Amino acid sequence: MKLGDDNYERRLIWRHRIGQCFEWLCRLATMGALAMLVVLMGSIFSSALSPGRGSGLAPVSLTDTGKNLDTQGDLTYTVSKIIGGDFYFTSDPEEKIKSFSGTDVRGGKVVFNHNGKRAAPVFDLSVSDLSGGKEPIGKFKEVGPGRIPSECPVPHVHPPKPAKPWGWLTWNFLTNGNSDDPLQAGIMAGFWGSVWLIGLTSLMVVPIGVGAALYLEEYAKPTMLTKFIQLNIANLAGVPSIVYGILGFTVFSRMFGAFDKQVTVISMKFLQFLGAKPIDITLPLGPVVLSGACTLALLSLPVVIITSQEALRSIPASLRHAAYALGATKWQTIWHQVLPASLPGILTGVILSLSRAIGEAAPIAVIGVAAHLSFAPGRITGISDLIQNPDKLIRAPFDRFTALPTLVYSWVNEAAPNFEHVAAAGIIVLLATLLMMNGTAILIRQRFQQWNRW
Amino acid sequence: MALVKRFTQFVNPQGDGSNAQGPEVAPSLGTPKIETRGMNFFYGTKQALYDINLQIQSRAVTALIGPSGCGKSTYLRSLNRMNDIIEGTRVTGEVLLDGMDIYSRDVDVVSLRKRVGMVFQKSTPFPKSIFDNIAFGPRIAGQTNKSELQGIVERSLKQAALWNEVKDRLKESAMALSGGQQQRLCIARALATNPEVILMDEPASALDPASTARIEDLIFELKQNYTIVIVTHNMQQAARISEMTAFFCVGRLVEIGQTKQLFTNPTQKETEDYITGRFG
Ligand SMILES: Nc1ncnc2c1ncn2[C@@H]1O[C@H](COP(=O)(O)OP(=O)(O)OP(=O)(O)O)[C@@H](O)[C@H]1O
Ligand SMILES: [Mg+2]
Repeated sequence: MKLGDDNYERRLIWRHRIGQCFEWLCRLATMGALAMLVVLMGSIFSSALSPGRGSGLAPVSLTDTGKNLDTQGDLTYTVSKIIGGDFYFTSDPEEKIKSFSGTDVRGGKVVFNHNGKRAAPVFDLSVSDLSGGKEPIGKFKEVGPGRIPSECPVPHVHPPKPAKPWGWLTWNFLTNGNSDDPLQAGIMAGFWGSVWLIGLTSLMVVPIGVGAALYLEEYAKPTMLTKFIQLNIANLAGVPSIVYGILGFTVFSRMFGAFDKQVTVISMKFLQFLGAKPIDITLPLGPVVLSGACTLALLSLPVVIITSQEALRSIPASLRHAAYALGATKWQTIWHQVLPASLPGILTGVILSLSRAIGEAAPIAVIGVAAHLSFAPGRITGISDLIQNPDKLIRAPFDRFTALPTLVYSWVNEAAPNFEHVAAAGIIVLLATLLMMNGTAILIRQRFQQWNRW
Repeated sequence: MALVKRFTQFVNPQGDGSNAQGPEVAPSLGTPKIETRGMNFFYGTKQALYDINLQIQSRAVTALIGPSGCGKSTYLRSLNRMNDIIEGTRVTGEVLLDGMDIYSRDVDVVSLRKRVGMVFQKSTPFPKSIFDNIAFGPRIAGQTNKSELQGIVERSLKQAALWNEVKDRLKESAMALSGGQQQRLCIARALATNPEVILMDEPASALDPASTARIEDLIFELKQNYTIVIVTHNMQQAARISEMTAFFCVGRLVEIGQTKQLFTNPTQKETEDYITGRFG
């Protein structure tokens, strides 16, 4: 094939086209991912910001069909199979009614007590005129929004006022404990529970994970045992979180049933000089912050170790050699050069695994954490409370708690209306907490990254 | 890792070094700073150096030349035991620094490397600020005084002819320097620990002629106070800057002599072929 002949040019053109196609495919994939994200966030935000369905008494009126019905006087409405509440006479708010006349409605004597299960009630309706015993002049099924018959005027229930006109992400929501009432339910206990959980988890995971990675990568000789350990860590990274939950339940929460809650009490008295009562820790820890944090630490450890090893491995050998050549010991080389240089990579791994840990509901649920809790760990109510009772900081890890994903999960499962909006607001708080924690780590990472331009 | 940790302090044999060894030292050349006697080097089972006998003069530049893969870098690295880092390496024979065998059991590798600094072919600044790069050596040696460190940094950078270019940006990343500046930074970093010997492995091979000239000037300056061993593929460079030149070929030292004499009047056929470009 000669350079410059037809065939060659055609090939060049096709090569170019294929390249462009590929670029567009990649662009499409990015768009797809972005679109999914937008849809997801959009649905969560729209749910959290929607006013929600109100409940309570709603006025009833008759629809205007514009037709002049040839009837003998008044119409009687008989409703059955009502979903969303019941009709009442204003005079007697105790007695449900199934049947009422058009005059009653026009006179404002009929109200609908909305239970909030649907946006507007749906009911079956049969209409007859005053003579009563005759055949009804109309029978309608599932009258409701979108299905209003045009043959004759029918009762129309005006929706009650929305539950939270400004959405569900309110100050109340952020400061309240959990509750059965969606209007009162709040996320405070879960937020502080998650903060404590992640704080303790990272305190455990970062030193242990990075230390293990350093040992495996820098010190351990590549023996069969090291390889076996390595393989096991890689496998552990893929173990489902529920398994860690069961492990955490047995080991930390129940402690193999080796202790009796009434008998084994460790009493910490060293804080008494602060005027605090001794801190009693009963020994099967139970579903407290510490057992949750230990469980999550186990869960995220393999990923932290693996990514830290990867980060350490990516440091060019020339960096180590340069340090050794200046007379650095192995320890000095690792501490002053290798670790700082690999810190961005290590932090990426820590961020990834802790983000996973904070969103885990399953293992937390398995160790026995309840959603219905309305206090922060250690019953800390605020900064002034903490200044007065600093011992609460030590009490908190041994206190019962609830976490953000646990709350969200319980709200999603809640049958009462409007809880889906509460759950959406909870998800937003969860995401915001995640962003806040990651933001700190990303800031640290960037401080170190600006030096690293290989 | 083969990095041997020895906690005994490396004894500086400045006093007894001159009379301990060296009956075969040629009187005209003075006492050698470094001497290798019957040295063999092995990467695992593969032998890379065979029976090297070589003397390196104090306060002079010794150039190592030879075709690629002949063991120049290996020899250079064995002079400050950087080869220890590579798994499975082995040395037999003697490498004497001021008459003291650096491979003997009671030598502390770390203090040896403080006395014998090294500059690599590829510049390897630490991903830190320029100041921290240079201060690293003194710091790990225990220097914590801030003003002392500043003095060391300034002196080293001036010695490496880099001070004027970077004096206003000592806190910036060393990674932002140009290739030639990075290489001079590495030289300054090696100088900061105040070594006696500086080993340079093709320090100018990736640089433009101007930067190369600066580094050559620098070497010329430095040899007043330091013993320099330099590996180079550039014959002219070797001729310009070195007093002594050693020619290596496939793991053997073929010839060593005064640079002028080796380039104009080599005793070995191989050397002549190599320096006239007829090699291989
Ligand atoms: N880490 C190593 N493991 C095993 N063999 C090695 C290693 N480093 C070098 N060698 C071998 O030792 C011999 C000498 O290598 P060396 O790097 O010293 O050559 P060189 O003279 O510096 O070459 P160049 O001029 O290309 O840098 C070569 O055959 C090389 O393959
Ligand atoms: Mg080399």
